[in-house]
Amino acid sequence: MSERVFTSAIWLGAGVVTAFFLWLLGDLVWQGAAHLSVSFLLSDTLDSGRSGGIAAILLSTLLILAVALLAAIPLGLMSAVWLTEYTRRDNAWGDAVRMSLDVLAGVPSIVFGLFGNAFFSVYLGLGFSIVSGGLTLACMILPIFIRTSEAGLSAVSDDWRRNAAALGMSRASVLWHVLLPTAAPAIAAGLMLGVGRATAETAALIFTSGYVDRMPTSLLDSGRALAVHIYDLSMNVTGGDQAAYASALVLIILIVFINTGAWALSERWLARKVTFS
Amino acid sequence: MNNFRVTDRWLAPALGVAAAGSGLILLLVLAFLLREAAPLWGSHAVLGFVLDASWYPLEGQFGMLPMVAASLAAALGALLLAAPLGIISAIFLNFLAPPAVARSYRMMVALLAGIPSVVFGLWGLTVLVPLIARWQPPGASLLAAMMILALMILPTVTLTSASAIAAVPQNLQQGAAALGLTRQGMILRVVLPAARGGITNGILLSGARALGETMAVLMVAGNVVQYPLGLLQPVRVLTANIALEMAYATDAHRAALFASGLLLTLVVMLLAWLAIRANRQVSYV
Amino acid sequence: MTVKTPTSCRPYTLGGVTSGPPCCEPVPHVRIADLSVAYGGNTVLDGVSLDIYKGCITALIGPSGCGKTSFLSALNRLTDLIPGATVKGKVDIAGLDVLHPQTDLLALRRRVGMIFQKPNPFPLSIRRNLELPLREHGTRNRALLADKIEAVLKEVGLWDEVSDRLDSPALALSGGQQQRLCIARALVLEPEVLLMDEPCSALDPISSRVVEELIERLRGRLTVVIVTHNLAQARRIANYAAFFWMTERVGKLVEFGQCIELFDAPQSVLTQAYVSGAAG
Repeated sequence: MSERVFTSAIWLGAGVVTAFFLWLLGDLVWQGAAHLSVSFLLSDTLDSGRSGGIAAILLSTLLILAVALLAAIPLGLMSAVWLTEYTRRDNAWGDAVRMSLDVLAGVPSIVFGLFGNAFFSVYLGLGFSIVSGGLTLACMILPIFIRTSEAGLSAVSDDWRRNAAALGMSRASVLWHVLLPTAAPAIAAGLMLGVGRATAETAALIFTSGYVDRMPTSLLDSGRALAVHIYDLSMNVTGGDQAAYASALVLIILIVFINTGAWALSERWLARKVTFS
Repeated sequence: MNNFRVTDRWLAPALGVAAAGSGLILLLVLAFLLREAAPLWGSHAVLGFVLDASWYPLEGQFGMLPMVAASLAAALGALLLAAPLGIISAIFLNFLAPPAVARSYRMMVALLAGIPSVVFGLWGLTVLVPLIARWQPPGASLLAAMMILALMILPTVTLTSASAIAAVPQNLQQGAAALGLTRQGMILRVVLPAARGGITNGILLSGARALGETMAVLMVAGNVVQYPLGLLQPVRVLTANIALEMAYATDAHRAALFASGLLLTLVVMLLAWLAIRANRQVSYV
Repeated sequence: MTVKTPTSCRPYTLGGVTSGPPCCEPVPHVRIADLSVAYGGNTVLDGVSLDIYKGCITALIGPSGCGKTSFLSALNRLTDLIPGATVKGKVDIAGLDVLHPQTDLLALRRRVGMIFQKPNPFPLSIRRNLELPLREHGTRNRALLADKIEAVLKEVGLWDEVSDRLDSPALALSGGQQQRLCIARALVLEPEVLLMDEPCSALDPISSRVVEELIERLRGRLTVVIVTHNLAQARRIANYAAFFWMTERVGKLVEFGQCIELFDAPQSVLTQAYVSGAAG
């Protein structure tokens, strides 16, 4: 193969990928923007979603995320701190927890849906509710959140830990005043990555938080997340494509914001590391 | 005055409990999967997974093979499409693209990685499927599933391969140049083999993801339970099956669905383990 | 190993050079008996016995790797932080048995302060850096905190430089200022003993000199143990010196005595070789 053919082939390949991406994005923006408006975002769903807006959906999505974060943040942070501060060097328990989390990260989302349904909805009796959905999502967010937070905490210079010990400071104190604030951007970035994944979730929510598209009045109400709404509109509602595209556009914009936030936070964390080393 | 040993005394156990909880989630998931699938153990239904002609749950037939075959076919097809394109993209990013172009390309790939599967499914359903239908109806088919899956796993293959290639030591490349190899020769015969551990890792992980993918495939594959004998035939993959039938499944049917979920998880775990092993390989060029 | 216990501590002349400024009374403050430190089965320090005298500056000299830092870490039980570290022997600081498992580490680390080679103030403001240890040890009164902070900053000579920006980040200070801040942070707890692990080696010559002068001012009020590779520095400021050497990969104490005697009339051949630059 001559050099020229090789180079052309590579550029062609990159071009094919770009073409598909632009095609997809173009369709999304073109079809979605047509139906998108402020009233779309703020009004209730009508006619199974063909008309009206996604206000109730957005609220449900927010509530599900809130439940997920409320469960995942404390548990995740405490686990990350334990992994960093107590088991860093060749500890069998630490390795077991890490491996368990790594495997959990790879479990397919539909399996999480099965688990969420069997455990939260049926066994714990929470039924189809925002709480069930949120807790299931929390299980999905935990692995990535814990590993990223652990990385952030480990990267904080050991010098400070030693200095604090020499000054007679308790581990709790040095964690609270020095380590966690320093690792905060990395922790926040990990959280946002997890949230980004959770926002895109559908399969895990269908059988845990359900389908109801009314405005939720309590956390035990069933609620429809944005991704589930898109699924329902495109598969079960004839003529729902327009609304589906508009919802998809909203979802993508939301995810881009979240991921950019995560990227910016981790950049800031890196910048801090450089200044302080 | 705080005696620091007081705060530290409960700090360690509290943290340990939290970490134990996190570690136990996996076991909880597996336990509940087994629990829900339990009614089937010991009954002839387990053999039925393999021996039954097809999946007719309402008649007590739980033959999973057609759907397993469909899952494997879709994932394999997606890999066959995405792996070459992904490696080409990785080569593009590392060697051929000017810095500004590389930055944009990388951003584009990252954006592609963040798109939810329902959105891929939506696009596939409204654009790809009608396109295929014009060639041959019904359009919703194995081919559509393969293409959408390929698009979804492409970013992972690209980014992991790009990292693996970037990790190949500079002196290997310089040595190749000194020996008079062309850039093409160096990339194909030195860099790629050296990076093959990381590349394989990315491919295996993407395969695991393709196997586990539900919504996008559900929306474009047609969902007819049959062996994937033709590219343009509709098929139903294991994941889509669970999503479609969970709503109304009871008793043995429900247990069978959980059993299929368990099977899926085990296969995905196996692939992930293989992926880690591939990464550990030291590649001798 | 030879140990010389001096009977007096007056300045004296030896070989035409007058010894450093007078040390106070030769009262043992830290008594170390048969100390050994091992990391995971690997012994790095063995059979060290000596007395550190109250109010004096004792320099620990010797080549890298022969256990000087491990020796220091054992004195305030910082070895507890290293997994797999075992410390044997007896260390007594004015009646406090350091190595006893039941010893209150909080009290120990209030009495024994430590300065590390690389200056590392916490990533907080100057004021918070000094407040944190005080609050940790029970001082809550804001007026009292402010007074102590001002006093200790004056003592290290930083007050004039930073009094108008106490709430600015400590890490914005120069290297020498950061190290003085770390010393201030250790001094704010009013310790009896100050352990210093090469405090000047990461600093430029001018900052190094400033810190050295600060250490000299501490003489008489604190017992200082300083690890240093700078033999000229040791000669300048130390009253006593302990020379460590490595035999068969294990650090041992070779000679201990008045600093000026160690340099000019050492008892051991090894010491002689080291201080004259011929070995290590």
